[in-house]
Amino acid sequence: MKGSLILVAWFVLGILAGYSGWVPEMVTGQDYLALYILYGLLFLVGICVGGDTRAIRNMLRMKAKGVVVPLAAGAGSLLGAGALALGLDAVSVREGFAVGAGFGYYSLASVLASQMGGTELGTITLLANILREVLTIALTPLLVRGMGELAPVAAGGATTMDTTLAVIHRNVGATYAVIAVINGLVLSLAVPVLMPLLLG
Amino acid sequence: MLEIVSIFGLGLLAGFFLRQRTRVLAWSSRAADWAVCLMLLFLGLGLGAREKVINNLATLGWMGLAFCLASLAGSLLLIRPVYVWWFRGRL
Repeated sequence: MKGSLILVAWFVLGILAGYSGWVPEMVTGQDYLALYILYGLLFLVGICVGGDTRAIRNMLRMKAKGVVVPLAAGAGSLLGAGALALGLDAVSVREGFAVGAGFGYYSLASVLASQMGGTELGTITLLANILREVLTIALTPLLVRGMGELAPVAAGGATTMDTTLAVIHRNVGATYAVIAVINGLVLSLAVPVLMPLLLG
Repeated sequence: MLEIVSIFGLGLLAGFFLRQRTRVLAWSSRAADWAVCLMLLFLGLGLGAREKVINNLATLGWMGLAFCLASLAGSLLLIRPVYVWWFRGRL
């Protein structure tokens, strides 16, 4: 939660600095700086995921059972957001799918959305996916009681391999925590593939 | 799009070959955290400098909440049958 608040603070600091006019236009008006940082970020995230062989081994051990969870959670997220976008004028269905394809991985998803779909879509993606993480942390006990042990794993999306893992482990135990790691890994890998596909 | 997937794929390969180098992996993780902070700062800068977006921030916030609830509802709806058929009482 503290980590999420720090990231929100960086974002708010940027808004305030941009709004105040203190930052020269050659910085706020250029997108290539953010693009190069994005490339660096993707490479670093790739190193972190590629270096974690334990998570990949766990996934192979679970076989189809482990993979069906992120498939269902991911498809549900896409369909839910796409269905909402059908009723909105401001966001196209493809953009709606893209917001849903963030799967809670707000840092990467918001950057991809703003680069490929504009700042407004980036902001919607950021807010939607930050709220997803916060709600998962806050509602996990209720979700388990109402919908079973797998519900917080589906709700957390890509965050279930890091930020929401602790609360999932505390509420549903180690077996579901392994499934949560697999779910988070698969959905994290899907974000940089799906979002450009949907917005490209 | 190809650039993004290729760079991510290169990172995955690099990570796999560097999997024994725990210090490099730890450094990459820290650097990724800082890169995320920088990206969000730039995202905020771009947003704050656009008056039209700032004036519509309340609308975008509600949209963000609506998309969050819609994707959560979708995920929970599709995971329910998976839980009932494959997981409940079997783990």
